[in-house]
Amino acid sequence: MGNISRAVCHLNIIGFRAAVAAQRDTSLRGQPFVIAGATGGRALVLDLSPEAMKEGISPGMALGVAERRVRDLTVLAPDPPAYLTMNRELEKIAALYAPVYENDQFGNLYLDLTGTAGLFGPAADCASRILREMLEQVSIRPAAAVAGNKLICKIATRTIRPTGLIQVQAGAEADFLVHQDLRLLPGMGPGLLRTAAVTGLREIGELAALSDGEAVSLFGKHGRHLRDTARGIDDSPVETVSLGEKRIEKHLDFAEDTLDFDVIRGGLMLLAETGGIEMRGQKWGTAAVLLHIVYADGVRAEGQEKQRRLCITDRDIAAAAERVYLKAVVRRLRIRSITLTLGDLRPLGWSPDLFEIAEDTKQRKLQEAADKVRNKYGPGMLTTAAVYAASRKEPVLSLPSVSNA
Amino acid sequence: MAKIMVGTCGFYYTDWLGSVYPEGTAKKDYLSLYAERFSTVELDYTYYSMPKAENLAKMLVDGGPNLTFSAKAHQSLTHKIDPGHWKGEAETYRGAIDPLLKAGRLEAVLFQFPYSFHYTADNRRYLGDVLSCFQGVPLAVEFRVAEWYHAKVIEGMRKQGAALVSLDMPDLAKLPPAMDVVTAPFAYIRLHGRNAGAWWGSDEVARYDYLYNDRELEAWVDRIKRIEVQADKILVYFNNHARGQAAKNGQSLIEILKRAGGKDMEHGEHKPGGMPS
Repeated sequence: MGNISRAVCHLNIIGFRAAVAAQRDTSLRGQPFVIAGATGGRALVLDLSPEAMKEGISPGMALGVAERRVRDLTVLAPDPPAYLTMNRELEKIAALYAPVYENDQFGNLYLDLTGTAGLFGPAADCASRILREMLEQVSIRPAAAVAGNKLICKIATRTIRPTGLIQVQAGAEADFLVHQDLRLLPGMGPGLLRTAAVTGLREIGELAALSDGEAVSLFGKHGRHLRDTARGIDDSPVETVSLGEKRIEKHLDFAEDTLDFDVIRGGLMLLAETGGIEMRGQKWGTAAVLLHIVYADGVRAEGQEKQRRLCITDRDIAAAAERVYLKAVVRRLRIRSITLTLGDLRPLGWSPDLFEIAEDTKQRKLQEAADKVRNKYGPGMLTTAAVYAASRKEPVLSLPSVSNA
Repeated sequence: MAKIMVGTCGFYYTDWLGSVYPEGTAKKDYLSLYAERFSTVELDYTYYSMPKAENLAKMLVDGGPNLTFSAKAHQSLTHKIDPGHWKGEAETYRGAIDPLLKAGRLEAVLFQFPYSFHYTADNRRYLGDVLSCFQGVPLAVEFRVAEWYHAKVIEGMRKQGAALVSLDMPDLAKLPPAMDVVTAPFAYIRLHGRNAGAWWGSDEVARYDYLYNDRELEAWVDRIKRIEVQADKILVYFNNHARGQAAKNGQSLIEILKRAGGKDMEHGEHKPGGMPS
């Protein structure tokens, strides 16, 4: 196990949006209710109260189905300003105890408590105090875990949810993980779970016991990483930068300055594909698409488009980039390079299962399939016709030409 | 809000003379003096020797009308399980605790399993079987191996209505997780002390030779207050019994809980300043 001397605390607020709603309106407590988003003409359950869950409602369910399950179901719209306010409150409390903390804005806070024992006592005692403050100050009751890395913490809070405190002692990680349900392992989506089920793997310890060869033959090139995850190996730091400040940038220099819109569109699509697969690999979506353009004379132009809902697929990202391009380019001059930035990154906010039942299922399934092929055989193995067609005119439109900006 | 009851693991310690019991106190008076200070006690002798109903009935009298009891399951049911005989031992034990149960003063029977009790199919079957021998009895289970601390066991405990014991131990490698998850109408907390230096390779007295400071106990008040909203009752037992430290910490915790606005303590409320110095 790595990082046994570290002390990381994970605070996991299950059903963050529903918890915020119940915190703001106490009459909701103990009642079945859902938060539903009306997008694409079909409303889906985004989040729900524990009581609604007991009635068989689940995130991602069509609102109509949920309403048939519970008569007079209370349905609330998402309230982003309230989530923002809550996150600020939670961060205020976290900052009192942790020099470094990370907040994904959807109810997951990681605090690095390494070296704070002299100030606040053992990490579990400190976590206990933080939980009390969250309860007293904002009436939020997270599940909390203390362990040597973020991964063990995450599995531990999933073990005890919806609430409670757990500390996994250094050296006991393997024993703790061995019989945990494989579904608790971050990264295990429905596809991987199906593969695991076919081969009889049900527990994290069974995956952890695979050899390199077995892991790769079962789960492909990411098999080793997955197996190492099952062994509790995680060196990722607790990062102070909030997710909203992270960005993915992809840059392309054309071989020759160009005004050919087919070539430029192919370039935008290529950047969307390379940035998109990286973004989805982290289970993020983008709420801001930015484009920097350099004309042949070195003059720069830029533009951005805020997204009303998260852009996830290559198609959506490229379409947004194209809109930004058409607005930003006002000179009739050749283009030398383009840089696509995926900003305001946010967690997808749903489980992989939910991924499959969103309203644009077809597009997302297609995207998943494309990502799977690219992950297995290399990102250049599959591209869209727009990129392929443009590459006949402009040979630079291929993966090696794309760089991180 | 839950009723919070604080006590110690055992009360029959001669090294408590002078600190918990006045010098010269006769052994027969230990329990009545204990009951002046605490509302509940966890009996540990029931682990070492099979209890008898008449002895426990006498304890009901000696402890006065308010003292309640938890009892550690006999070692033949946890540490020295004989596949051919344990059912008989369970029946004997179940019969012995009957006076406590009938008097409504049995808080729980505690099954504390050893480090060697791993999460195996045989042990899981045994656990289910032995717990089912105690239908109608409040049960608490303490594991010493991290293998048991996962969702299936939590769910199983909930179905069984048995409490998964929350532990306080030293911050040492390989010890089981500290986990506060309420799986029964009551929560059961055992504080074993944090004597990391003597935990391994020493005798029982040295291992539990530890005095919690107020800051550590205050952190436990936070934990208790969170558990409080999920359980009807919280039982807290100190096992750091060496030189009366369990009793001292127990009384300190009661005071801190009171200052923090803890509701209970009405039952078996300890007398202010009742600790001999």
